[in-house]
Amino acid sequence: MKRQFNCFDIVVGRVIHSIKGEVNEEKELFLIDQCELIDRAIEEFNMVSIDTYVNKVTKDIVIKLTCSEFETNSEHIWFYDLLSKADMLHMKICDEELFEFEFIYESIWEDDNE
Amino acid sequence: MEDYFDDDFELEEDEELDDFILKLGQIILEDEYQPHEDVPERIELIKKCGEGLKYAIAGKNVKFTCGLHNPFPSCGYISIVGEDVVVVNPDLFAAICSASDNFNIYSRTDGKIQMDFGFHGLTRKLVEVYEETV
Repeated sequence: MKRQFNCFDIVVGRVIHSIKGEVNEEKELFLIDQCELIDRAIEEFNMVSIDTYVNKVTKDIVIKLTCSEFETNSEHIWFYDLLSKADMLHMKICDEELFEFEFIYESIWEDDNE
Repeated sequence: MEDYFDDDFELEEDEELDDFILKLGQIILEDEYQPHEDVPERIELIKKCGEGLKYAIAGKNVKFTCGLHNPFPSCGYISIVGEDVVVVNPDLFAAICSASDNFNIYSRTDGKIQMDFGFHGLTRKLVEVYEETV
């Protein structure tokens, strides 16, 4: 897949700063680290597309990857690390060939703004 | 029927290669079915991972299947099939992915998602056990 922008731009530029409220800095840095790994996953597993949005109700950050199939083994410890640090993972089918893999991150905002 | 192959891809028959692959398959099969004994630690690991996944995963119409010594004596698997799969405990889920020898996920034609966790080394050959004891 040819990327037109990286996850850093999407999360930091388009999503976080388009919402009113202070971002928890520590969480923001954490998310940037995660996005670098998500970038790596996109490259390594030939994922088809990426979308990032904020759940309007829960205010969770959701990074949605679309992919057809991927396989991991002991060489992909970094990917398991990425999985373990999400607050929730959600997988659902798109069509016969593709499914969505969502990484959900909670509590990105400062408590005062909740 | 839709053509899934690139234009420049041509399937050539190669009897030598076919023979080699069939022989290799035969060697692997013979090796798998040599006298062997179970490795209890590995079998216990699959069972624990299966239990763990039930805590880590929720979702719509999710079914868990666990197979020991399947498709070969030394292998085992855990399969999860569901319409909408939610991992509520990613930490535990990642630990189980890491404990398995391979993990794959794909969409099925019946509108469901399937995840497979593969495990190897469920048995060891008696010859190896004997060699260790001598």
